[in-house]
Amino acid sequence: MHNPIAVASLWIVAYLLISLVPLGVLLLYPAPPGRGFWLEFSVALGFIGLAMMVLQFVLTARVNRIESSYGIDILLQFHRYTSLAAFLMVLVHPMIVFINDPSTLELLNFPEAPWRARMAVIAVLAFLIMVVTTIWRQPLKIPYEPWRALHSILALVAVGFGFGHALGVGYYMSFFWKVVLWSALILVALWLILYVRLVKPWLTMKRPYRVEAVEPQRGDVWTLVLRPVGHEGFSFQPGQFAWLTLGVHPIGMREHPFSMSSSGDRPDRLEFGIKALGDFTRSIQTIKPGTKAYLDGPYGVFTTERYWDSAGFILIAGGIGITPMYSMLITAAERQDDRPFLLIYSASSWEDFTYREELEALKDNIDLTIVYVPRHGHEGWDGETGYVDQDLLERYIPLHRGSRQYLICAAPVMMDAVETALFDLEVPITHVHMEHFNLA
Amino acid sequence: MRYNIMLQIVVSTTLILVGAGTFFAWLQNRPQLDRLEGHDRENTTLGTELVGSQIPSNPVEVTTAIP
Repeated sequence: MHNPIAVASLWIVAYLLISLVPLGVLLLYPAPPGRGFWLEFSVALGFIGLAMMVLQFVLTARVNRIESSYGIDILLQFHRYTSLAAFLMVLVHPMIVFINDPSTLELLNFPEAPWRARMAVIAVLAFLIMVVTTIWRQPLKIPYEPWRALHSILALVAVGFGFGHALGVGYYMSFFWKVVLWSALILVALWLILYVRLVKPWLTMKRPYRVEAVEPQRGDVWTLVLRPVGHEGFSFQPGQFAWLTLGVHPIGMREHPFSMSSSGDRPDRLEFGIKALGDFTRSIQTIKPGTKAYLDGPYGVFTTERYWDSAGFILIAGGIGITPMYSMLITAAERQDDRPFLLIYSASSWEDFTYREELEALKDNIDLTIVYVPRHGHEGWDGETGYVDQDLLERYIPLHRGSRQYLICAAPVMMDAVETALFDLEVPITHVHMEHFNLA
Repeated sequence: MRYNIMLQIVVSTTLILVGAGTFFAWLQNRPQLDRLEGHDRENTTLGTELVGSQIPSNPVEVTTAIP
Protein backbone atom coordinates (compact mmCIF):
# COMPACT_ATOMS: atom_id res chain seq x y z
CA MET A 1 0.00 0.00 0.00
CA HIS A 2 1.46 3.37 -1.01
CA ASN A 3 -1.25 5.86 -0.11
CA PRO A 4 0.27 7.61 2.93
CA ILE A 5 -3.12 8.61 4.38
CA ALA A 6 -4.36 5.01 4.11
CA VAL A 7 -1.19 3.70 5.79
CA ALA A 8 -1.44 6.31 8.56
CA SER A 9 -5.12 5.40 9.08
CA LEU A 10 -4.27 1.70 9.29
CA TRP A 11 -1.78 2.39 12.10
CA ILE A 12 -4.52 4.20 14.02
CA VAL A 13 -6.90 1.27 13.53
CA ALA A 14 -4.14 -1.07 14.74
CA TYR A 15 -3.62 1.17 17.79
CA LEU A 16 -7.34 0.98 18.61
CA LEU A 17 -7.50 -2.77 18.09
CA ILE A 18 -4.46 -3.49 20.26
CA SER A 19 -5.90 -1.24 22.99
CA LEU A 20 -9.21 -3.09 22.88
CA VAL A 21 -8.16 -6.72 22.30
CA PRO A 22 -7.46 -7.39 26.01
CA LEU A 23 -10.99 -6.22 26.76
CA GLY A 24 -12.47 -8.16 23.83
CA VAL A 25 -10.92 -11.40 25.07
CA LEU A 26 -12.93 -11.07 28.30
CA LEU A 27 -16.13 -11.33 26.31
CA LEU A 28 -15.15 -14.89 25.37
CA TYR A 29 -15.79 -15.87 28.97
CA PRO A 30 -19.10 -15.79 30.88
CA ALA A 31 -19.87 -12.46 32.49
CA PRO A 32 -19.40 -12.37 36.26
CA PRO A 33 -22.71 -12.19 38.13
CA GLY A 34 -23.95 -8.98 39.67
CA ARG A 35 -20.78 -6.87 39.72
CA GLY A 36 -22.62 -3.82 38.47
CA PHE A 37 -22.09 -1.48 35.55
CA TRP A 38 -19.72 0.93 37.27
CA LEU A 39 -17.34 -1.72 38.54
CA GLU A 40 -17.15 -3.28 35.06
CA PHE A 41 -16.63 0.17 33.52
CA SER A 42 -13.84 0.82 35.98
CA VAL A 43 -12.23 -2.53 35.08
CA ALA A 44 -12.55 -1.68 31.38
CA LEU A 45 -10.81 1.68 31.88
CA GLY A 46 -8.05 -0.01 33.83
CA PHE A 47 -7.40 -2.59 31.11
CA ILE A 48 -7.58 -0.02 28.30
CA GLY A 49 -5.28 2.34 30.22
CA LEU A 50 -2.75 -0.46 30.78
CA ALA A 51 -2.86 -1.50 27.12
CA MET A 52 -2.33 2.13 26.08
CA MET A 53 0.66 2.36 28.41
CA VAL A 54 2.17 -0.75 26.81
CA LEU A 55 1.65 0.80 23.38
CA GLN A 56 3.68 3.87 24.40
CA PHE A 57 6.75 1.63 24.27
CA VAL A 58 6.03 0.97 20.59
CA LEU A 59 5.48 4.65 19.83
CA THR A 60 8.85 5.64 21.27
CA ALA A 61 10.87 2.71 19.92
CA ARG A 62 11.86 4.57 16.73
CA VAL A 63 10.13 1.96 14.56
CA ASN A 64 10.91 3.19 11.07
CA ARG A 65 7.72 1.88 9.48
CA ILE A 66 5.49 3.76 11.91
CA GLU A 67 7.68 6.83 12.04
CA SER A 68 7.75 7.13 8.25
CA SER A 69 3.95 7.42 8.20
CA TYR A 70 3.78 10.49 10.41
CA GLY A 71 7.19 11.99 11.18
CA ILE A 72 8.88 11.57 14.52
CA ASP A 73 7.64 14.90 15.92
CA ILE A 74 3.98 14.00 15.37
CA LEU A 75 4.59 10.53 16.75
CA LEU A 76 6.14 11.88 19.94
CA GLN A 77 3.38 14.44 20.34
CA PHE A 78 0.86 11.61 19.87
CA HIS A 79 2.79 9.70 22.56
CA ARG A 80 2.49 12.68 24.96
CA TYR A 81 -1.24 13.13 24.44
CA THR A 82 -2.18 9.43 24.46
CA SER A 83 -0.08 8.95 27.60
CA LEU A 84 -2.12 11.67 29.26
CA ALA A 85 -5.34 9.97 28.12
CA ALA A 86 -4.05 6.65 29.52
CA PHE A 87 -3.10 8.39 32.77
CA LEU A 88 -6.61 9.82 33.12
CA MET A 89 -8.12 6.37 32.55
CA VAL A 90 -5.78 4.80 35.09
CA LEU A 91 -6.70 7.55 37.56
CA VAL A 92 -10.47 7.34 37.00
CA HIS A 93 -10.34 3.51 37.31
CA PRO A 94 -9.83 3.45 41.16
CA MET A 95 -11.95 6.58 41.68
CA ILE A 96 -14.99 4.77 40.32
CA VAL A 97 -14.24 1.84 42.62
CA PHE A 98 -13.97 4.19 45.63
CA ILE A 99 -17.20 6.01 44.81
CA ASN A 100 -19.00 2.77 44.04
CA ASP A 101 -17.94 1.21 47.32
CA PRO A 102 -16.40 3.71 49.81
CA SER A 103 -15.14 0.85 52.01
CA THR A 104 -12.51 0.15 49.32
CA LEU A 105 -10.80 3.39 50.34
CA GLU A 106 -9.11 1.29 53.00
CA LEU A 107 -7.01 -0.16 50.19
CA LEU A 108 -5.10 3.14 50.18
CA ASN A 109 -3.76 2.35 53.66
CA PHE A 110 -0.42 1.25 52.24
CA PRO A 111 1.05 -0.71 55.23
CA GLU A 112 -2.19 -2.64 55.80
CA ALA A 113 -3.33 -3.02 52.21
CA PRO A 114 -2.89 -6.27 50.26
CA TRP A 115 -0.10 -6.44 47.70
CA ARG A 116 -2.45 -6.04 44.75
CA ALA A 117 -3.51 -2.63 46.10
CA ARG A 118 0.06 -1.63 46.95
CA MET A 119 1.13 -2.42 43.42
CA ALA A 120 -1.68 -0.27 42.05
CA VAL A 121 -0.60 2.66 44.25
CA ILE A 122 3.03 2.29 43.16
CA ALA A 123 2.03 2.09 39.47
CA VAL A 124 -0.16 5.20 39.70
CA LEU A 125 2.52 7.11 41.62
CA ALA A 126 5.16 6.16 39.03
CA PHE A 127 2.82 7.28 36.27
CA LEU A 128 2.10 10.54 38.12
CA ILE A 129 5.81 11.32 38.60
CA MET A 130 6.39 10.50 34.93
CA VAL A 131 3.69 12.91 33.79
CA VAL A 132 4.78 15.72 36.14
CA THR A 133 8.49 15.46 35.30
CA THR A 134 7.71 15.41 31.58
CA ILE A 135 5.28 18.31 31.41
CA TRP A 136 7.26 20.50 33.81
CA ARG A 137 10.77 19.25 33.06
CA GLN A 138 12.11 22.68 32.19
CA PRO A 139 10.52 24.64 35.09
CA LEU A 140 11.76 21.88 37.41
CA LYS A 141 15.20 22.26 35.81
CA ILE A 142 15.67 18.54 35.22
CA PRO A 143 18.51 17.98 32.71
CA TYR A 144 17.57 16.01 29.59
CA GLU A 145 19.71 12.90 30.12
CA PRO A 146 18.73 12.10 33.74
CA TRP A 147 15.11 12.82 32.82
CA ARG A 148 15.28 10.33 29.96
CA ALA A 149 16.73 7.60 32.16
CA LEU A 150 14.14 8.30 34.88
CA HIS A 151 11.36 8.30 32.29
CA SER A 152 12.32 4.81 31.09
CA ILE A 153 12.57 3.41 34.64
CA LEU A 154 9.24 4.93 35.72
CA ALA A 155 7.54 3.62 32.56
CA LEU A 156 8.72 0.10 33.39
CA VAL A 157 7.62 0.45 37.02
CA ALA A 158 4.19 1.78 36.03
CA VAL A 159 3.50 -0.98 33.49
CA GLY A 160 5.10 -3.76 35.57
CA PHE A 161 3.23 -2.91 38.76
CA GLY A 162 0.03 -2.20 36.81
CA PHE A 163 0.25 -5.71 35.37
CA GLY A 164 1.02 -7.09 38.82
CA HIS A 165 -2.04 -5.34 40.23
CA ALA A 166 -4.26 -6.83 37.50
CA LEU A 167 -2.85 -10.29 38.21
CA GLY A 168 -3.33 -9.80 41.95
CA VAL A 169 -6.95 -8.75 41.64
CA GLY A 170 -7.26 -11.91 39.67
CA TYR A 171 -10.87 -12.16 38.64
CA TYR A 172 -10.39 -11.57 34.93
CA MET A 173 -6.70 -12.42 34.86
CA SER A 174 -7.48 -15.97 35.93
CA PHE A 175 -8.63 -16.70 32.39
CA PHE A 176 -6.00 -18.58 30.43
CA TRP A 177 -6.05 -16.55 27.24
CA LYS A 178 -6.09 -13.34 29.20
CA VAL A 179 -2.85 -14.23 30.94
CA VAL A 180 -1.27 -15.34 27.65
CA LEU A 181 -2.26 -12.09 25.95
CA TRP A 182 -1.07 -9.80 28.71
CA SER A 183 2.15 -11.72 29.17
CA ALA A 184 2.84 -11.32 25.44
CA LEU A 185 2.12 -7.58 25.59
CA ILE A 186 4.36 -7.08 28.61
CA LEU A 187 7.16 -9.09 27.01
CA VAL A 188 6.93 -6.99 23.83
CA ALA A 189 7.10 -3.79 25.91
CA LEU A 190 10.09 -5.13 27.84
CA TRP A 191 11.85 -6.16 24.64
CA LEU A 192 11.23 -2.76 23.05
CA ILE A 193 12.69 -0.83 25.95
CA LEU A 194 15.68 -3.19 26.10
CA TYR A 195 16.11 -2.81 22.33
CA VAL A 196 15.98 0.99 22.39
CA ARG A 197 18.05 1.51 25.52
CA LEU A 198 20.57 -1.35 25.26
CA VAL A 199 20.55 -3.33 22.00
CA LYS A 200 20.39 -0.37 19.64
CA PRO A 201 23.13 1.60 21.46
CA TRP A 202 25.24 -1.56 21.40
CA LEU A 203 24.72 -1.89 17.62
CA THR A 204 25.49 1.82 17.26
CA MET A 205 28.72 1.33 19.17
CA LYS A 206 29.83 -1.22 16.58
CA ARG A 207 29.79 1.54 13.94
CA PRO A 208 31.82 4.41 15.38
CA TYR A 209 32.66 7.72 13.72
CA ARG A 210 35.46 10.19 14.32
CA VAL A 211 35.17 13.96 14.37
CA GLU A 212 37.20 15.26 11.45
CA ALA A 213 36.58 18.96 11.89
CA VAL A 214 34.46 21.53 13.68
CA GLU A 215 34.05 24.52 11.38
CA PRO A 216 32.52 27.87 12.32
CA GLN A 217 29.72 29.21 10.14
CA ARG A 218 27.69 32.39 10.04
CA GLY A 219 24.94 32.83 12.65
CA ASP A 220 26.72 31.14 15.59
CA VAL A 221 26.50 27.78 13.82
CA TRP A 222 29.18 25.09 13.83
CA THR A 223 29.56 22.41 11.21
CA LEU A 224 30.53 19.09 12.73
CA VAL A 225 32.20 16.83 10.19
CA LEU A 226 32.21 13.08 10.89
CA ARG A 227 34.01 10.23 9.13
CA PRO A 228 33.01 6.59 9.60
CA VAL A 229 35.67 4.37 11.19
CA GLY A 230 35.86 0.79 9.89
CA HIS A 231 32.56 0.89 8.01
CA GLU A 232 30.95 2.74 5.11
CA GLY A 233 28.76 5.17 7.04
CA PHE A 234 25.21 5.61 5.77
CA SER A 235 23.49 7.39 2.93
CA PHE A 236 20.26 9.20 3.73
CA GLN A 237 17.39 11.11 2.24
CA PRO A 238 18.28 14.82 2.31
CA GLY A 239 16.46 16.47 5.20
CA GLN A 240 16.66 13.49 7.52
CA PHE A 241 18.30 13.54 10.93
CA ALA A 242 20.28 11.24 13.20
CA TRP A 243 20.77 10.87 16.95
CA LEU A 244 24.31 11.97 17.76
CA THR A 245 26.40 10.88 20.73
CA LEU A 246 29.74 12.59 21.21
CA GLY A 247 32.68 11.40 23.24
CA VAL A 248 30.71 9.12 25.57
CA HIS A 249 29.32 5.62 25.42
CA PRO A 250 25.99 5.52 23.50
CA ILE A 251 24.32 3.60 26.34
CA GLY A 252 24.77 6.76 28.43
CA MET A 253 21.59 8.19 26.86
CA ARG A 254 23.33 11.42 25.94
CA GLU A 255 22.23 11.42 22.34
CA HIS A 256 20.74 14.43 20.60
CA PRO A 257 18.89 14.72 17.28
CA PHE A 258 20.48 16.79 14.51
CA SER A 259 19.73 17.17 10.80
CA MET A 260 22.49 16.26 8.40
CA SER A 261 23.62 19.26 6.35
CA SER A 262 25.73 17.36 3.82
CA SER A 263 24.76 15.53 0.63
CA GLY A 264 22.61 12.46 1.20
CA ASP A 265 24.76 10.58 -1.28
CA ARG A 266 28.04 10.99 0.63
CA PRO A 267 27.99 8.33 3.36
CA ASP A 268 31.72 8.68 3.94
CA ARG A 269 31.48 12.28 5.12
CA LEU A 270 28.53 13.33 7.25
CA GLU A 271 28.10 16.93 8.27
CA PHE A 272 25.79 18.48 10.89
CA GLY A 273 25.02 22.19 11.17
CA ILE A 274 24.62 22.85 14.90
CA LYS A 275 23.62 26.19 16.39
CA ALA A 276 24.88 27.03 19.88
CA LEU A 277 21.56 27.24 21.73
CA GLY A 278 21.64 24.85 24.71
CA ASP A 279 24.20 23.25 27.04
CA PHE A 280 25.15 20.50 24.60
CA THR A 281 25.11 22.59 21.41
CA ARG A 282 27.22 25.33 23.03
CA SER A 283 29.87 22.73 23.79
CA ILE A 284 30.19 21.66 20.13
CA GLN A 285 32.81 24.35 19.40
CA THR A 286 35.08 22.80 22.05
CA ILE A 287 35.00 19.31 20.51
CA LYS A 288 38.45 18.29 19.38
CA PRO A 289 39.04 16.56 16.03
CA GLY A 290 39.58 12.85 16.65
CA THR A 291 36.77 12.65 19.23
CA LYS A 292 34.70 9.47 18.94
CA ALA A 293 31.10 9.88 17.84
CA TYR A 294 28.14 7.54 17.37
CA LEU A 295 25.12 7.93 15.12
CA ASP A 296 21.71 6.31 15.21
CA GLY A 297 19.90 7.08 12.00
CA PRO A 298 18.81 8.19 9.54
CA TYR A 299 15.30 9.11 10.66
CA GLY A 300 12.60 11.49 9.49
CA VAL A 301 10.18 12.06 6.65
CA PHE A 302 11.05 15.72 6.16
CA THR A 303 12.70 15.21 2.81
CA THR A 304 12.32 16.08 -0.86
CA GLU A 305 12.98 12.47 -1.77
CA ARG A 306 9.42 11.36 -1.01
CA TYR A 307 8.02 13.64 -3.73
CA TRP A 308 9.60 12.39 -6.90
CA ASP A 309 6.70 13.61 -9.04
CA SER A 310 6.63 17.14 -7.68
CA ALA A 311 7.25 19.85 -10.28
CA GLY A 312 9.42 21.72 -7.82
CA PHE A 313 9.91 22.72 -4.19
CA ILE A 314 9.32 25.73 -1.98
CA LEU A 315 11.71 25.60 0.97
CA ILE A 316 10.97 27.98 3.84
CA ALA A 317 13.72 28.17 6.46
CA GLY A 318 14.20 30.24 9.58
CA GLY A 319 17.61 30.46 11.27
CA ILE A 320 19.14 27.04 11.88
CA GLY A 321 16.18 25.54 9.96
CA ILE A 322 18.39 26.01 6.90
CA THR A 323 20.35 22.83 7.79
CA PRO A 324 18.03 20.22 6.24
CA MET A 325 17.26 22.60 3.35
CA TYR A 326 20.95 22.96 2.59
CA SER A 327 21.25 19.17 2.50
CA MET A 328 18.31 18.99 0.07
CA LEU A 329 19.81 21.63 -2.21
CA ILE A 330 23.35 20.26 -2.20
CA THR A 331 22.01 16.74 -2.91
CA ALA A 332 19.83 18.11 -5.73
CA ALA A 333 22.89 19.81 -7.21
CA GLU A 334 24.91 16.61 -7.09
CA ARG A 335 22.07 14.67 -8.70
CA GLN A 336 21.64 17.37 -11.35
CA ASP A 337 17.99 17.78 -10.41
CA ASP A 338 16.43 20.06 -13.03
CA ARG A 339 13.35 21.08 -11.03
CA PRO A 340 12.95 24.65 -9.71
CA PHE A 341 13.71 25.32 -6.04
CA LEU A 342 12.56 28.48 -4.27
CA LEU A 343 14.23 29.09 -0.91
CA ILE A 344 12.64 31.67 1.39
CA TYR A 345 15.19 32.15 4.13
CA SER A 346 14.66 34.23 7.26
CA ALA A 347 17.35 35.24 9.79
CA SER A 348 18.06 38.01 12.29
CA SER A 349 20.40 39.95 10.06
CA TRP A 350 22.30 39.68 6.78
CA GLU A 351 25.35 38.41 8.64
CA ASP A 352 23.36 35.59 10.23
CA PHE A 353 22.43 33.75 7.01
CA THR A 354 24.29 30.47 7.55
CA TYR A 355 25.78 28.89 4.36
CA ARG A 356 25.10 32.18 2.48
CA GLU A 357 28.09 31.92 0.18
CA GLU A 358 27.57 28.20 -0.39
CA LEU A 359 23.92 28.76 -1.29
CA GLU A 360 24.84 31.47 -3.77
CA ALA A 361 27.33 29.09 -5.36
CA LEU A 362 24.62 26.43 -5.75
CA LYS A 363 22.71 28.74 -8.08
CA ASP A 364 25.22 27.82 -10.79
CA ASN A 365 24.26 24.15 -10.57
CA ILE A 366 20.49 24.06 -9.98
CA ASP A 367 17.43 26.18 -10.76
CA LEU A 368 17.51 27.94 -7.38
CA THR A 369 15.89 31.24 -6.41
CA ILE A 370 16.68 32.58 -2.93
CA VAL A 371 14.61 35.19 -1.12
CA TYR A 372 16.53 36.40 1.94
CA VAL A 373 14.34 37.87 4.67
CA PRO A 374 16.47 39.56 7.36
CA ARG A 375 14.52 40.89 10.31
CA HIS A 376 16.06 44.32 9.69
CA GLY A 377 17.76 45.28 6.45
CA HIS A 378 21.20 46.84 6.56
CA GLU A 379 22.04 50.08 4.84
CA GLY A 380 21.53 49.80 1.12
CA TRP A 381 19.42 46.61 1.44
CA ASP A 382 16.50 46.70 -0.96
CA GLY A 383 15.24 43.14 -0.51
CA GLU A 384 12.56 41.74 1.77
CA THR A 385 12.67 42.44 5.51
CA GLY A 386 10.61 41.52 8.57
CA TYR A 387 8.76 38.23 8.83
CA VAL A 388 7.69 35.55 6.36
CA ASP A 389 3.99 36.38 6.26
CA GLN A 390 1.09 35.78 3.90
CA ASP A 391 1.78 38.86 1.75
CA LEU A 392 5.41 37.89 1.26
CA LEU A 393 4.54 34.30 0.41
CA GLU A 394 1.87 35.38 -2.07
CA ARG A 395 4.47 37.41 -3.94
CA TYR A 396 6.73 34.42 -4.52
CA ILE A 397 4.89 31.13 -4.53
CA PRO A 398 3.48 29.98 -7.90
CA LEU A 399 -0.12 30.59 -8.85
CA HIS A 400 -0.66 26.85 -9.31
CA ARG A 401 -0.12 26.15 -5.61
CA GLY A 402 -0.48 22.38 -5.89
CA SER A 403 2.34 22.09 -8.42
CA ARG A 404 4.95 22.32 -5.63
CA GLN A 405 5.76 20.67 -2.31
CA TYR A 406 6.29 23.10 0.58
CA LEU A 407 8.83 22.27 3.29
CA ILE A 408 9.08 24.46 6.39
CA CYS A 409 11.82 24.28 9.02
CA ALA A 410 12.09 27.09 11.55
CA ALA A 411 11.27 28.07 15.12
CA PRO A 412 7.84 26.73 16.15
CA VAL A 413 6.20 30.18 16.09
CA MET A 414 7.38 30.86 12.54
CA MET A 415 6.39 27.38 11.36
CA ASP A 416 2.88 27.79 12.71
CA ALA A 417 2.52 31.26 11.17
CA VAL A 418 3.84 30.13 7.77
CA GLU A 419 1.67 27.01 7.82
CA THR A 420 -1.46 29.10 8.51
CA ALA A 421 -0.49 31.59 5.79
CA LEU A 422 0.01 28.78 3.26
CA PHE A 423 -3.41 27.33 4.03
CA ASP A 424 -4.95 30.79 3.67
CA LEU A 425 -3.28 30.95 0.27
CA GLU A 426 -5.03 27.68 -0.60
CA VAL A 427 -1.95 25.50 -0.69
CA PRO A 428 -3.21 21.88 -0.39
CA ILE A 429 -2.70 20.55 3.14
CA THR A 430 -1.01 17.40 1.80
CA HIS A 431 1.67 19.54 0.13
CA VAL A 432 2.90 21.20 3.33
CA HIS A 433 5.58 19.38 5.33
CA MET A 434 7.39 20.32 8.50
CA GLU A 435 9.20 18.73 11.37
CA HIS A 436 9.37 20.19 14.87
CA PHE A 437 12.59 19.52 16.72
CA ASN A 438 11.33 19.96 20.25
CA LEU A 439 11.60 16.24 20.82
CA ALA A 440 12.54 16.21 24.48
CA MET B 1 -2.60 22.29 11.46
CA ARG B 2 -0.79 18.94 11.65
CA TYR B 3 -0.82 19.12 15.43
CA ASN B 4 -4.51 20.05 15.37
CA ILE B 5 -5.31 17.03 13.22
CA MET B 6 -3.24 14.83 15.51
CA LEU B 7 -5.02 16.23 18.57
CA GLN B 8 -8.38 15.51 16.95
CA ILE B 9 -7.23 11.93 16.29
CA VAL B 10 -6.17 11.53 19.94
CA VAL B 11 -9.52 12.88 21.18
CA SER B 12 -11.46 10.66 18.72
CA THR B 13 -9.52 7.50 19.57
CA THR B 14 -9.86 8.19 23.31
CA LEU B 15 -13.60 8.66 22.94
CA ILE B 16 -13.81 5.41 20.96
CA LEU B 17 -11.88 3.60 23.69
CA VAL B 18 -14.02 5.03 26.50
CA GLY B 19 -17.12 4.20 24.43
CA ALA B 20 -15.86 0.64 24.02
CA GLY B 21 -15.31 0.45 27.78
CA THR B 22 -18.87 1.62 28.38
CA PHE B 23 -20.18 -0.94 25.89
CA PHE B 24 -18.16 -3.66 27.60
CA ALA B 25 -19.59 -2.72 31.00
CA TRP B 26 -23.09 -2.73 29.58
CA LEU B 27 -22.56 -6.13 27.93
CA GLN B 28 -21.34 -7.63 31.18
CA ASN B 29 -24.35 -6.28 33.04
CA ARG B 30 -27.27 -7.02 30.79
CA PRO B 31 -30.23 -7.58 33.13
CA GLN B 32 -31.34 -10.59 31.07
CA LEU B 33 -28.13 -12.42 31.91
CA ASP B 34 -28.82 -12.08 35.63
CA ARG B 35 -32.30 -13.45 35.24
CA LEU B 36 -31.18 -16.34 33.07
CA GLU B 37 -28.15 -17.26 35.11
CA GLY B 38 -27.53 -20.99 35.29
CA HIS B 39 -29.15 -21.89 31.96
CA ASP B 40 -27.30 -22.80 28.84
CA ARG B 41 -27.72 -20.91 25.61
CA GLU B 42 -29.94 -23.42 23.84
CA ASN B 43 -32.40 -23.63 26.73
CA THR B 44 -32.57 -19.89 27.23
CA THR B 45 -33.17 -19.31 23.56
CA LEU B 46 -36.10 -21.69 23.56
CA GLY B 47 -37.20 -20.51 26.98
CA THR B 48 -38.42 -24.04 27.78
CA GLU B 49 -36.56 -24.71 31.01
CA LEU B 50 -37.08 -21.41 32.73
CA VAL B 51 -38.92 -21.75 35.96
CA GLY B 52 -41.21 -19.65 38.13
CA SER B 53 -40.27 -16.03 38.45
CA GLN B 54 -37.39 -16.41 35.94
CA ILE B 55 -39.82 -16.61 33.03
CA PRO B 56 -39.83 -13.21 31.39
CA SER B 57 -43.12 -11.60 30.47
CA ASN B 58 -41.97 -11.29 26.88
CA PRO B 59 -40.00 -14.33 25.57
CA VAL B 60 -38.87 -12.38 22.50
CA GLU B 61 -36.93 -10.09 24.84
CA VAL B 62 -34.81 -13.08 25.94
CA THR B 63 -33.95 -14.41 22.53
CA THR B 64 -32.90 -10.99 21.24
CA ALA B 65 -30.64 -10.33 24.20
CA ILE B 66 -28.51 -13.47 23.84
CA PRO B 67 -25.25 -12.63 21.95
